[in-house]
Amino acid sequence: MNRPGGLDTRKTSPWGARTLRNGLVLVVIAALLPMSILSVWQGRAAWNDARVLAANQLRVNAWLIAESERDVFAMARQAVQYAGAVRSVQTMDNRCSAVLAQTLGGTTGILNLVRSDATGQARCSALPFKGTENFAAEFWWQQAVKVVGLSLSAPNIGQISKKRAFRLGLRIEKADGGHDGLISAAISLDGLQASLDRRGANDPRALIEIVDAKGDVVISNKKTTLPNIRSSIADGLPAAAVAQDGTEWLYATAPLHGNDLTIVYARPKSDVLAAARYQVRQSILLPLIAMLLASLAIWTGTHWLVVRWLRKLQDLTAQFGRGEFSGNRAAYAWAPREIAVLSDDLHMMAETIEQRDTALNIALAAKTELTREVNHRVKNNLQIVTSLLTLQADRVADAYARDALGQARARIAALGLIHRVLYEHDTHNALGTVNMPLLMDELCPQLRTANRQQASVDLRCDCAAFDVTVDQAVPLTLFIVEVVTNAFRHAYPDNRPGIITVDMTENAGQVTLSIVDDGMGYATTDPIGKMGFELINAFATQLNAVLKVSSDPAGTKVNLCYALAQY
Amino acid sequence: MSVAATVETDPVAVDDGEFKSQMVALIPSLRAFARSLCGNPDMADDLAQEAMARAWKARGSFTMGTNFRAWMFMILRNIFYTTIRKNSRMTSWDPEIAERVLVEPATQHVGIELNDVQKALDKLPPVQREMLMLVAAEGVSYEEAAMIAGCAIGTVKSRVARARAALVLLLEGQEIDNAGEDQDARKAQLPAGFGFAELS
Repeated sequence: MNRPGGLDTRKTSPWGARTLRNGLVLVVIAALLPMSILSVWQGRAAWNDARVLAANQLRVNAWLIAESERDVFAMARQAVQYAGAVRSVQTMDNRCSAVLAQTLGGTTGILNLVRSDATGQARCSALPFKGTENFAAEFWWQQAVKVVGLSLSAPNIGQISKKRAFRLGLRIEKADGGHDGLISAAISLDGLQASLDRRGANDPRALIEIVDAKGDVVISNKKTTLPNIRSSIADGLPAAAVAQDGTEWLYATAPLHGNDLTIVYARPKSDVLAAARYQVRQSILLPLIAMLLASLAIWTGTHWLVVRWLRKLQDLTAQFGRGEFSGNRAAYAWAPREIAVLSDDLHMMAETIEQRDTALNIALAAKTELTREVNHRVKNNLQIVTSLLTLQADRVADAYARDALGQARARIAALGLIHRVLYEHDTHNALGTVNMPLLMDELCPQLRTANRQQASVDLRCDCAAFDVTVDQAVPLTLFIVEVVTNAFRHAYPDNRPGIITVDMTENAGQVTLSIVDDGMGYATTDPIGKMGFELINAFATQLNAVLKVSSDPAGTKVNLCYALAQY
Repeated sequence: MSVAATVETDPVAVDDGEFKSQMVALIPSLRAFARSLCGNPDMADDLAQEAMARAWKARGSFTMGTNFRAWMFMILRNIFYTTIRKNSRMTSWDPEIAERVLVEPATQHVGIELNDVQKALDKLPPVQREMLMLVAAEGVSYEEAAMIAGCAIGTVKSRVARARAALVLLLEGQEIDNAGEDQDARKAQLPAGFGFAELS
C-alpha cells in the first residue's frame, strides 16, 4: 500500500533503520557497555594479579627447595672446615683417615672426605683408598688450590668413590703463603638427584633443576630441561622459558650455593595460568553474553508486546483510511493495555466516522434529489416559456418580430437543454458540471430543427470529452447557438447548400471551439448581424476567452479559445 | 628515630631521573610484596601506588646509593600497618579471617593453586608470612629484612625459620597452631617509634 507523504520523510541512521526495536537494543547495549568495560578491565587486573601471585608462589617453592637442599652443602662446609682445623689432618699423619671417617660419620649426601697434598697425591680418605690416587691432573683440583678458602667444583666422577659428585675444596695454607694441598668433600649428585626426584614425586607437574653459574643444567627431575635460565629474582612477574620439546614453562630461581648453583622451580605455563586465563575469558565473555541475551530479549519482547500490535493497528488504520469501518475489537483482547485502549479509541473513532458518513450520505442524497428536481422544474418552465414564445410567434404577423421571437426561443431552448442534461445525466455531471459531448449531442439536433427551413445546409458537430461548470456552460452554449444560428440565417441565402462545422477540443484545460461555415461571408458593417455579434462578444467576454473571427466570400471562421474553470 | 634518620647518612642531592627509573624498575616487586601483605588485589595495587607517591614526596630524604629497595619496602610496609589501624576496611591477612573469607575462593586468587603453596601461605601468621615473602620471594637479605621490619636480624631469622617449618608442615597436609604467633605479630607489626610523619 502506498501512503502519500509519509515514507519519504523518514530518516535512516548509520545504525540501521530507526525502528523501535533497533533503538531499544542500542539503549540496552549502551546501558551494559560500562559494565562490560569495567568487567574487561577487572579481568585484566585479575590477570596481572594472577601473574604476581604465580611469581610469588614459584619463588617460595624454589626457595623452600633451596633451603632444604642447602643443608648438604652446609654440612660439607662444616665438615671440611672442622677437618681442616684438626692437626692430624693438617699434617696428614696416621690418624688422618680415622678423623676424616669420624667427621663423615652420620652425614647423608656427602660421599667422602679426602686430604690431598701439595702434589695432588691422596694422603688420607674417609673411604678406603689405595693411596696411589693423584688429583694433580684433574681440573677441579687445579682450580681449587688456586682459591684461598672454600671452592666448589663442577660435578665429576670421584677416583675413590667412583660416583658423580661436586667437590667442595678447602685449601690448606702454608706459612710462606703457598698451599699444602686440599681437604675436599664429595657431595653426591645422586643424593641430590634422589632428593629432587622425591620432591618431583610429591609435586608431579613441577620441573626442578639445579643449574650452575653458566646456566647449564646439572640435575633435573625430568628429562626436559629449560635453557637460558636467568636468575634475576627481583622481578614481580614470573620468568618464562621454552623447553627443548617446545613446552612453555614459568619458573623462579633461588640460590643454592652462592652464585655457583641455583635451584630452578618451574611449572607448565598452561597449568599455572589456565584458571586465570579462564577467568579473564569469562570476564570478557559474560558481559558479551549478557548483552546478547538482553538484546535478544528486548528484540523479541518489543516485537511480541509492541511492534506486532502496532502493525495490527497500522493495518487497522489503513483499513479505516480506505473507508472500511468494520474493525475487530476482539483481536485486541490479549494486547497490552495501552495498545488495547488505543485500539478501542480507534474503533470508537471509526464508528463515529461511519455514523457521520451515513448521515452525510443521506443528506447528500436528499440534496441531489432536490437539485435534480430544481433542474427539472427549471427545464420544464423554460420549455413552457419556449412553447409560449412559439405560440406567440405564430400569431405575430411581422416577419422581423417573428424572427426575433424565434431566436429568443432558440436561446431559451438551449438554456433548457443545459438543465435537462444536468438532471438527466447527473451521474456524469457531479458537482454541477455539464458533460460537453452529451450537451452537444442534444444541442446539434435542436439547432438543426430550429433552422429546418435551411434544409440544404448540413450541421456537423464534434466534441471532445470534457466537463464544464454550469457557469461556463451557459455562455458557451449560447455562444454556439448565436454563431450557428447566424451562419444558418445569413451565410446561405437562396437555399444555397453548405456545411457548418462545430468542433470543440480540449487540451490541458484549454478549450478550443471553432465554428466554420462555407457560406457567403459578410461585410463587417452588416447591420443585420450587429445584435448577434454584440451577444457573441458578450459571451466571449463572460468566458474570458480569446475570440477570432475571419470572414471572406468563401466562408466564415469563428475561433474561441478559453480556459476551463476549476470546480 | 625516623625513617629519614635511619637511611640518610650523608646528604647527597637526589637525581630525580635516576630515582624515578629505580622506582619504576621496582614496581613489580612492590606490587608482589603488597599483594602478600593484603589479600585483596585492588587494595594491593592501591598500597603500592600510595607507597610510590609517598616515596616520591620524600625523595629528598633518600640518599642515592643506599639500599633503595629496602627503603621502598619499608615505606610500603609502614603505610600498610598505619593504614589498617585507621581503616577497618583494610584488614591484614588474619589467618582466621582468611579461613572464613576463603569460603568463596574463586574471587580470592584467580585459580592459582601451585601445590597449595598459596593456601599454606594464607594460613601463616602475618609477620611470618611477610618475612618469608621478603626473603623467599623478593630475595631480600636478612639484614635488609631486619631494616624493613625495624627489628633485629635474629627476629627475622627466627620468623623465617618458623614460617618455613610451618609451610613445610602445611604442605604436608598438617595443621599449625598460630595462637602464640598472633600476639607476637600484633606487637611486631609496628615497632615503637617507627613514625611516619617525616615521610608524609
